[in-house]
Amino acid sequence: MSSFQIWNKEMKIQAQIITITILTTLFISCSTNTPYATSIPKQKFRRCTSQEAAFQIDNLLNDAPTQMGWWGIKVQYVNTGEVIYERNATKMFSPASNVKLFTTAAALCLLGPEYRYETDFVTNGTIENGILKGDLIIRGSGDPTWDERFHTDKYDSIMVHFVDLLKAQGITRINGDIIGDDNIFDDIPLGDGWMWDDERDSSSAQLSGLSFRRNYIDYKLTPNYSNIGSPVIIESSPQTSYVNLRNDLTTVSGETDSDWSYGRNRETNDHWFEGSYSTQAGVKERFLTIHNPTLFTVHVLKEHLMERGILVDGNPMDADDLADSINYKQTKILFTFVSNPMSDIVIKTNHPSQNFIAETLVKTMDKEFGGEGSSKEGMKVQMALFDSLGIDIENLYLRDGSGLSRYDLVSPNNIASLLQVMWNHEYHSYYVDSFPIAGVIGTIQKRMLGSSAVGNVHAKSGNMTNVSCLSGYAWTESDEPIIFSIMANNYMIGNSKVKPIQDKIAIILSDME
Amino acid sequence: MNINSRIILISIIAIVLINCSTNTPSSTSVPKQKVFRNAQQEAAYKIDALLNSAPVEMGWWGVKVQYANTDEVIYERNAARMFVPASNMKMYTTAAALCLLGPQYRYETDFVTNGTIDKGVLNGDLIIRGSGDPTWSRRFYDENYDSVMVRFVDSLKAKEITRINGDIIGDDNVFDDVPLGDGWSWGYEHHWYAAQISGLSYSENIIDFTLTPDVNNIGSPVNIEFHPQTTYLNLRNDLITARNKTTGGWTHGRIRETNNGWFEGEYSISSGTQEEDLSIHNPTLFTVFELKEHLIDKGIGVVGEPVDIDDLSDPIDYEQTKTLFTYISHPMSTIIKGVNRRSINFIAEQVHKTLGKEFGVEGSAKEGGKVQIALFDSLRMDTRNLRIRDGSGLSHQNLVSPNNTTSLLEMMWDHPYRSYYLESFSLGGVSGATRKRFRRTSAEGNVRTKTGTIAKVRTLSGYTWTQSGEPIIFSILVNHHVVPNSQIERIQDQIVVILSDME
Repeated sequence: MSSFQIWNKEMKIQAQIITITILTTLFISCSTNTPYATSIPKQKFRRCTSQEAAFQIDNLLNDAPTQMGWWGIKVQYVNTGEVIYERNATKMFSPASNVKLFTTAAALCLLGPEYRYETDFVTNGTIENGILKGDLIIRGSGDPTWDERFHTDKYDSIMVHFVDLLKAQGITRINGDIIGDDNIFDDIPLGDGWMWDDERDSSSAQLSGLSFRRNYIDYKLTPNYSNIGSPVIIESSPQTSYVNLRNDLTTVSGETDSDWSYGRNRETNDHWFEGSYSTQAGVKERFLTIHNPTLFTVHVLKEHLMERGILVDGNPMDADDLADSINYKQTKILFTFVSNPMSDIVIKTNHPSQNFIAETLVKTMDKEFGGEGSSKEGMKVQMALFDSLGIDIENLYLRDGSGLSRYDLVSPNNIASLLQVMWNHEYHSYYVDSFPIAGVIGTIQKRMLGSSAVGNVHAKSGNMTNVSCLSGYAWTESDEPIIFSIMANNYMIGNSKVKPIQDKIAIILSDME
Repeated sequence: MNINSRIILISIIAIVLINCSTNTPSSTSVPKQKVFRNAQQEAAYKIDALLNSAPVEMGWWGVKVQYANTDEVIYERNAARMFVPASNMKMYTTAAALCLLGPQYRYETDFVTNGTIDKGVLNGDLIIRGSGDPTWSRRFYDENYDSVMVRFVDSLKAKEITRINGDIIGDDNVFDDVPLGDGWSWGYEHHWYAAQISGLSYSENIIDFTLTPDVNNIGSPVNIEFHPQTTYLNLRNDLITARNKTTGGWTHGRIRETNNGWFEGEYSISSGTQEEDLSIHNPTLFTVFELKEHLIDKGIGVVGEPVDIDDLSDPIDYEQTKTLFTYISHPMSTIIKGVNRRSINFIAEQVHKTLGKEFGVEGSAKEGGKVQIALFDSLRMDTRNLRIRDGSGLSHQNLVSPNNTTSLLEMMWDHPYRSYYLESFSLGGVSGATRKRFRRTSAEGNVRTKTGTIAKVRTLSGYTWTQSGEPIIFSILVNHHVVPNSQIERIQDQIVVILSDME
């Protein structure tokens, strides 16, 4: 399907919602009719002034039904600080993933764009004739980058790399265990206030000082077209015996409706798929989180070692299960794995809105500033930073790094002042580069298509039940940078109908003279 | 501000300009000489002034006040907007329970067997066919934890059973197996307010503890008493009695998906005796486990084990079983008092699933929500602006408007079961969650409310009566405040007192 077709469908849906407001807007700013609101071709609009932009935004929201919920907006010029538009700008909103604007700003300011995670692979034994007489210990650094997004497009390439590094030491056999040490962070696996029924979802992947592949597994489901009644083919990436997969998903004919579910039993690694899966459903992808990322990581490493000819006599172990703590003064470093720099990590946090990395950054900030890698303390470290940067933290309530928590509350003013501070910050370009770009990349790749916002609006989205936000930077036709924060809470109309209104606002700003 | 309140405000300002020549130092205290057209206008003015003076930290406010008998609106602000209701959700759940199940609805739980009784020996299993009954707790039995279990044992003894050769099986299939509400926080799970939901439940699926420091032995463990007494929960007690002013602090919890609980830390002798609680895992097994303990305790031998029906290899064929006795609960009129006065989430969720079971496809929260929406829709409420995700309000995903809640209260005011409904609410200064609020005001012994509190949410809705006995309906919903709840409560209470003070 071409992107045009996708665009066309979305536009139709949204057109129904905002027809009235659009008509008003069109009368004001445009002499020709455009069929779809957000796709207003550039040439059909004359450039509007800031007052006209404010008027248009106001119109969008004034006639809105109450089902649209609560909206808070702040729009201002970056260079002068002049406010173009505001509505409920001091009120508190649930920000969802707009929290990552704060988390990644703090990570850049406090850890720096050149910050890299360094993970030591050590042993308490000696290498004799290619045999490691002792345990292989991975001293986790919290590195969130051990996945295909950072290391080519192969799921297992990082593990292959580790195996190769061990082979380079001449190791052919490990007499001991493969021990994972996650003590760089505390052992709290989830964020404050996260939902119990989301735990299986990739957005709620567990946090750990030692993690592999964002701590979830990809499943590709393919109906068994030639054998109706037989199990659906389920391919997992990575392939590992760490999870116990129960496949009770049966292929049914295309005339039958699909009726299936999947999940992970909590506190276990029992994954299951069950029900009937219609051939019409085609190939689908699903994700399930794993329990105990530390053990997962060393388990998968052992599998890779064995597969690649390094015999392991021992077992994968979580350092928490050892009787004695590891004395690192008695160990020897085999090699140290150094991650990509923070400048890359913040991109991979903000572009896809990756909760797992965002939360890891919070724990890292606590660890690096003297704490025990706790989220709670990491938030305090951030608050101290924001305070020093002149952001009003009196009314800033951040409880996690990703925004999944219902306890987070921020105002459009809070976000605008953060974006203002970061605009003037020495790491400004790293920050802005990490944002999704309308029509181009990240979570807003398919939004604002065919408009002046494409390639122009750099903004972080934030969406969960009853919450939809979009905040970032836009540039006017004359290249004047603008900060905007749009927050919507407690609506009944669904995210798919709220987003087009936000897009419309971002387009209005991009259309300014 | 919507158009209506804007009009009200404009007319108020005009009136104030005409009638008032002096400045008022504090906006909430209106000088006596101010003349209002009527009491209603005066109340609206006062409420508006109160809310206008509230700082932004007070969050979002939605208010609707109207006369119960005439529907005439006294005041509204953001009345059509959506708010997370917290435990105000229970007003919907209990209204639906009264309307659909009725005040005389009682849970009936069959105790059956697949065997026969020979010479006092039950040759077979004792099966409790759960009905979802939420009342097997001290709350409904004079604060006695064991009372209901003793009744069960006595009923079996009345059949002259002295020994059970089989297992004690708990059947919870009247409900689905989802133990918690939609979107509840994982951090809630060990608390009483997030107790698990089950077709077979005992003691509201929690265990209460009394902690007593060992004052004569600093450094020794705190004494922890269980209520009910049970070995179902394995408790690790690393809670140490400490001298006054220790800074250590203490915590307690339960490892998820297990019945391994713990207390640890330093417990100051100055804390004295305190109550704590933990939820248990698998209420079905808990119930039959407890019953077995009580049976043995009272001299009935049990050869088998407590078993959850989900662990049986074959389903039970109830056509092959014989009912030994049927246990009948208190009526719904009593049950909803348990829901509303102390805001017990567990009972609300059980009732919610019961609605799904009795009027929907299954005993699930989703069906309970559908049944409620269908009911409210038929009663001409605006259900487009109503999102019901659980029965208790613990979910942050529920959404209601002040308009919804006042129209619900209006509907129940005109309902034949009005008195049951009103009775179930807390009475200001007297009973339930508001027993310590409204003291020494016109609302004391007058206002009937349901409170609601979860993170960033504080709500208060209900009925009050003016000085001349005119009933008033109100709903005050507050979301996203960042000041302490007590500050929100103060303003909510002031609004209620303004209404109760009316002529």
